[in-house]
Amino acid sequence: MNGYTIFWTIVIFFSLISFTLMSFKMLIMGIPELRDMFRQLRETNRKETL
Amino acid sequence: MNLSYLDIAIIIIYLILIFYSGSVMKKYVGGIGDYLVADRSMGFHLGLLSMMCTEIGMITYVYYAEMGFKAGFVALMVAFPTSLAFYIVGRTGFIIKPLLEMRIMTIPEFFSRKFNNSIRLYIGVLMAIGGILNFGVFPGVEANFINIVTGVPQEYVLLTMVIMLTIVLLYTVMGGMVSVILTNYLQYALLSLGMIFITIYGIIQIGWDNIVEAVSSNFGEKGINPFFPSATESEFGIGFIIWQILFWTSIIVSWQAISMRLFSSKDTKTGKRIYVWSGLMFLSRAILPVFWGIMALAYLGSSIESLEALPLLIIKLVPKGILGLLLAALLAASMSTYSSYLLSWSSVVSQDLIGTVIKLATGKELSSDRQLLLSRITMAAVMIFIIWWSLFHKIEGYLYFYLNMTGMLFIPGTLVCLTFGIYYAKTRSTGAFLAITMGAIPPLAYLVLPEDVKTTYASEMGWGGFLLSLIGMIIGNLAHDLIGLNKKKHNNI
Repeated sequence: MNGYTIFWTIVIFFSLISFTLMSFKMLIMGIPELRDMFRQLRETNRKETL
Repeated sequence: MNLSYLDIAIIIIYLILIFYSGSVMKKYVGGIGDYLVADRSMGFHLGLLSMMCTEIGMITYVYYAEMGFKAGFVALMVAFPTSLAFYIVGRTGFIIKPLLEMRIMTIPEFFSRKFNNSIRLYIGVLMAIGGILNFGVFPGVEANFINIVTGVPQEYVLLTMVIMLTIVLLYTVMGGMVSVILTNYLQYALLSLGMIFITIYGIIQIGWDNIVEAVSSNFGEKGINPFFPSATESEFGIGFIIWQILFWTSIIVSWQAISMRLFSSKDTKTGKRIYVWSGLMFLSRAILPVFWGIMALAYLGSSIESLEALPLLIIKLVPKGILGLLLAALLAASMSTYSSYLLSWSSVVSQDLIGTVIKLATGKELSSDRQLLLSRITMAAVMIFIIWWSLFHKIEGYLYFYLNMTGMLFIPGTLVCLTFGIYYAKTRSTGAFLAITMGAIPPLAYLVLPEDVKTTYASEMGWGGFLLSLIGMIIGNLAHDLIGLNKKKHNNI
């Protein structure tokens, strides 16, 4: 393995690990945000109806 | 047929779930603001997730895998400029902060506020052409992909396209941005698991040493060292990096599908934060699929069609049962991209082209209901066009470069106009007009030139577009002022 191959190996594994961690974080933390978004939209629509 | 009954059942359940959630969202859509930017109610995690979903489609996997398959490890270079551009723009708030503070819904709106409606119309036309030509190859490439993975004969490619687009159109038309954000959430869960699975399972099955060996034996030093034979002569060398940094800086501030995510975020801070973290996520978005292309090379050899490398790898590598889940993940990726792109490009056509023409002609804005109706009709028209384009357009060179160059029709002009318009008070509409026009010349040349020329000079045409656009802006501003001065002198006489 030369220097570039080692570099690409690090890049690929770093990407895989960071993608995995970030994806789980986004999915878990996204649930309360979805709830907030719908609450806001419901309120906006109610005000418009009134 | 490559799918088992279990695979088919998983895909059907997924489609029902997505369609149902999209149609349920209809009740949340009030006016055009809800429809296009979800009433600016999106938080950080949802924003980031939605951005990733939009910008990851089956086509993303295919074009990145093609690069890995054709160039080896050096193709991984494509990931860094994107990541860097997102990080810098997110950290500094360059362009995006002033745009968020202006509370606009589409980029051409900026052009009418800063310049005039004619410039807005002009950039809107180029955006619509570039964006729709770009989007136009998606259905063909992806239907081809689906047919290879499922084992459906290639003569049914039109049918696959129509079914896929009809499902997307139905729920996007009904729910707009709200349905896009909710379905994005469901889709991202599948998509991310699929990406992680392919990478890990591929490495285990093929073996890391075999992958490295395949690149060395097929490409030698050229496949591993991105600056071979020299930094300036290499396909992924300095010229490519400069072009891609400029390209992505412009894309992330002006690409309708991305900027809509920005305008949907609940405040400036959230918008900037989404961009900073997108830098990291976009690194993986490119690295993992390029790596799949390299795995396909190691597993299947170099004799297959480059655009078919990834689907063939999937059907040869992935066991039945998991294939259905993976195909559902890939469909998820594509459908979210389609829904967002349909929404984005149809909003450019309906708001920035037709809306501007109506305003110029009547002097009045369309009502919110009429805008909504117009947006939906435009969406259907865009869908019909892209099916037709997919059937009759033949892609030459890297698919990635074709997609870049169609976007380049408006990207250099937009970046230069936004930068000058925001940070230089004396920017003139003549400068904007020339910047947009001159920036579009190299990509236009790319689209009509023969394949060998476009492949050799892609990077030069890329950064050349930005350089010409900058020159156009400077000349236009100077000319505008000179003409203005002459008029004043003439009046004084």
